[in-house]
Amino acid sequence: MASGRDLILDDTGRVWRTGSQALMASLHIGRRDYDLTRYVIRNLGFVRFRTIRGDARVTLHPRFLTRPAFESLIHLLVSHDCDRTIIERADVPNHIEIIPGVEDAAARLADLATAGGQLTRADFYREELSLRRLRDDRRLSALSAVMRRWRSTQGELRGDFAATFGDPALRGRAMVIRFTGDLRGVVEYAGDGFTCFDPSWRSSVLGHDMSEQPDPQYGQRIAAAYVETHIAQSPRLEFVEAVIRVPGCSARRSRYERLLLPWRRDGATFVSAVSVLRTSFATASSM
Amino acid sequence: MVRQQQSTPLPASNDGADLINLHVCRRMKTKRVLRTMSQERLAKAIGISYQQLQRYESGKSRLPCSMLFRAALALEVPITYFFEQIEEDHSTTSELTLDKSVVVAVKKIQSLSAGDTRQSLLRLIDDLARSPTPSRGPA
Repeated sequence: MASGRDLILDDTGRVWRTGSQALMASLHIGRRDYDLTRYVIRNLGFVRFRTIRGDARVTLHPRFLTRPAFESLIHLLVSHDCDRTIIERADVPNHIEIIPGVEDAAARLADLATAGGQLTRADFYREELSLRRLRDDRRLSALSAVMRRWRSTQGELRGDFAATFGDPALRGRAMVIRFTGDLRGVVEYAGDGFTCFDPSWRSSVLGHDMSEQPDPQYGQRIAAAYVETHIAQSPRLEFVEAVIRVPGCSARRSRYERLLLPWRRDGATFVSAVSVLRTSFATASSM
Repeated sequence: MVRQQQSTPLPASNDGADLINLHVCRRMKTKRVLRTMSQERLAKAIGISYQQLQRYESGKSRLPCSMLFRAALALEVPITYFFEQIEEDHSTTSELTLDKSVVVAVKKIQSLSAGDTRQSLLRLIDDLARSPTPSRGPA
């Protein structure tokens, strides 16, 4: 990867060297007697892109980010293949966000820019992924361990739920749903890793319908995958991006992969979901 | 200043990767990310595994033109999209690549002794560069 790049993207997506004469000429500025870079970021929707030791550092005023500048920025992030993206906001002093991966960075930048109305991003998105990712992606190793257990027991639940889903590597991000005959699912187990919900939620949700979540819309949307897994009786790995709105809290956009597995015990059928969180940030509209 | 036409193919990078292939693959990845499309979905659309798509996106494998055609259909872009900005990317920025005549002029300026003439010339160039231009952006 090339190092030490310092570039400015204008509102049309054109890329300039930071502080270059050509950039100044394009802005009809003859003499630089003030902080031009700061000015164009704060007022004109320009974006500064720097690479520092394998990281990309992006400085912008999200409300002013235009679609062409956003697209050009994503192309730079892709081209430089940086390990992490550090987002520095001109409208929030002394605040940075560190994001791994281009896709996560793109999601966060788009979400931040929605406040300006030039970009939009769906509130919910889920997509099935290849199960081979469990083998190829080390980040998903905690999910792989559950998959191995499912295979070794041939989907037979043994012991209590905590024995199977209480692995610290899962960080408490596990749910188990028991299915009744009419495809209705009730919560049998919830881990303590769902920090976006009130701590009392974990105990209060047991025995309730799987879609009864603090955010009912989110609950309805994620319940569909449990039903699909129950019907198919086969493992399912999926990616989810969702805005979760809990009363009394800031809305958060979370991105995660989750593994759904069908189980059985004593004639009852269950579906478990274990997940690995990629990113979770308060949405721009709630900040 | 006039943009110099790319009359010769882009060279291979230091590690031997074909820069045109790399550019095309990066454009493909950029569009996939912008469309919020997983590697699985694009790979399925073009008839390969997501691992193979990963190899294309990283530039480790050369992207066959048949795949490029299918990718254009899946991403709903004209095939020319993948080749856009190829010169700009190669020169890092949208700023102008050096005109040959400019390079010659620079060499001539360097050949001048570091006296008043050279300083006056540099000041003149500096003043001209700072004067407002009628249009925004490079010509």
